[in-house]
Amino acid sequence: MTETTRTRWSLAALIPKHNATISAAILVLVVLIFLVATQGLIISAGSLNLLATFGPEIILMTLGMGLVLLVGQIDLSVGSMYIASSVVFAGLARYLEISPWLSVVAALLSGVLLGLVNGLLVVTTRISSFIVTLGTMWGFQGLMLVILGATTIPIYRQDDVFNPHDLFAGRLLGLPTQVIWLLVIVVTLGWVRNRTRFGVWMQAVGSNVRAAKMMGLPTRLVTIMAFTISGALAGLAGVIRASQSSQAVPQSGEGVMLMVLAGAIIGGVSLSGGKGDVLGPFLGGLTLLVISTGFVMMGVVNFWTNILIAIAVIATAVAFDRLEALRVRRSIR
Amino acid sequence: MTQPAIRVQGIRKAFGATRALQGVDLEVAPGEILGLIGDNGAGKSTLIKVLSGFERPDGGLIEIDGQPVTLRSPADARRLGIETVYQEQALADDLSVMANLFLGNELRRGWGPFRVLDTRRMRARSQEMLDGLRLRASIDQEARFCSGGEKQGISIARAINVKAKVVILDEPTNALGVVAVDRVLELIRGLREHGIGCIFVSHNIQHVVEVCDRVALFVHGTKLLDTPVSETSALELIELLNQRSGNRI
Ligand SMILES: Nc1ncnc2c1ncn2[C@@H]1O[C@H](COP(=O)(O)OP(=O)(O)OP(=O)(O)O)[C@@H](O)[C@H]1O
Ligand SMILES: [Mg+2]
Repeated sequence: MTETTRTRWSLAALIPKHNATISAAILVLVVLIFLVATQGLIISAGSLNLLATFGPEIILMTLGMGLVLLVGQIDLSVGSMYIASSVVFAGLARYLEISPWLSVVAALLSGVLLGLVNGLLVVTTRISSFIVTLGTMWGFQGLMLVILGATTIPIYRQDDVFNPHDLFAGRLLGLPTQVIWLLVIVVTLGWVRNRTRFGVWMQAVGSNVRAAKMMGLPTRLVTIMAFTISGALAGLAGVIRASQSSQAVPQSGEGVMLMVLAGAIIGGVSLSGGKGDVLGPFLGGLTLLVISTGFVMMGVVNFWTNILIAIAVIATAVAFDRLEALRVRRSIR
Repeated sequence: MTQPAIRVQGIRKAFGATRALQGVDLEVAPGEILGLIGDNGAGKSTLIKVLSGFERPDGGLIEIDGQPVTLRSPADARRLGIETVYQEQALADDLSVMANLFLGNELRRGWGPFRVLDTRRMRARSQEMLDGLRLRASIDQEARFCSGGEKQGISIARAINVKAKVVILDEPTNALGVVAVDRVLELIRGLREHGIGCIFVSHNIQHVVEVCDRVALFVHGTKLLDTPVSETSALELIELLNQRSGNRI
């Protein structure tokens, strides 16, 4: 080997293989910026508590969005499913006086069901999921508002018995239980994505659905599963939300979908499908949450958050694109 | 008399006004290599997509080992032992060469719902598969970085390395270099020893005459000729193609 090839190789080795590496670098950068900007407040107990309490539900949905994007689709209805689940929980308990635990089960199932509806609509109508879930985003929420109206539904709980609040927004081993839920799900989904054939199939379907079909993969089932997982995670997020705040607000949830989508993009998931893992969206979602928490800590008006998120999304998209170009160049000999 | 590995009767398929297949009969015995020739648009690929479950025929019968079957999807066909190399690229570009080689046929270990990909075994096998075709692509490289010929080679490797009853190759030597073509023809001959039936579509009459036992000639969705290769010659086939395919209605 000549000198030049060796130099080229060592340089090439610096190009990260995985998008998640970039996502991690961005997270570190954002944390550093806010360490300086908030003079360390970002890692104060109060700030971390805020993150751990309100963060997990958003990240859960980001993971779901990541998988839907991986199979080459998009799910604009996550925000609606999230709120719908919290409303099912609170509504059943309050208006039908069903036990809180049963209401929780119903809420989780409603997430699964709505996700399944999305998936079935996408594969049977063959209309783009952008349009289908744009429809169901309005549809799910409209249905909810028609049935219950735009009134906040409180959840009463008795403090002396073990109730859903303890499981979904309580504390265990000094951690908020929602953090534990999140970690368990990240590990589980990561295992599915990286170690099982279903993970490979999701990527294959998103990369080239025709080839996937030619190789005999159950492409429709894979697509339906991705939407259903997204619905289930939104359902869990909704239960956490309602447990945490002891109420459900039917007319809320605005901006959730965009935040989740942005998190997935910062997580290195491609909008054109076939790229993305579980760790990336986890880091991407976390990055956005650090940004919003950071601004809260600085006492800056909310609108700045949007601007920084905008920059983060576009900057990372550019970074991923450049990385891609570098990898292509490396492979051309 | 031996049972044909695959037998079709009266297969019809139309795309709108285009009658791509107008009642085709065909059979391939185990260990037999059937060459399929015909002009562009003669219906060869359509027949192959029907046999591989990718397209549903409008009518006709398909039998595998003497059993009538309905192929609802490529998954059905693969399960029944039909492996296909499609004319168009059927690789997922974002997946590694290895993942593509095992797509839909992943090796796994463990039990029940906890079975995981057996990456170690797949790595070793895929290296063997590439070596078998003298392909130099790395098994970890994303498929989109492969050259056209390498991609073609991957599709072929994946079809030949499965225990299939019938292997169908739609213009497999299209993008290949001279050495690779020889290697592929050699592998096709190798199928014979394993008792695997093979359908080989090609525009290269020379190759067909070289490896096939029998040759079928298609014109406008019908089979015009079906004869042992020993009873014809490349020259005669080319002559026939020129005569019959030139004059469209
Ligand atoms: N999905 C489709 N929709 C509409 N028409 C089609 C479709 N697939 C094939 N056809 C038409 O059916 C006819 C047969 O096509 P086919 O691909 O089987 O030809 P072929 O013999 O494989 O040709 P070539 O040698 O060029 O590959 C052509 O006229 C083609 O245009
Ligand atoms: Mg063809």
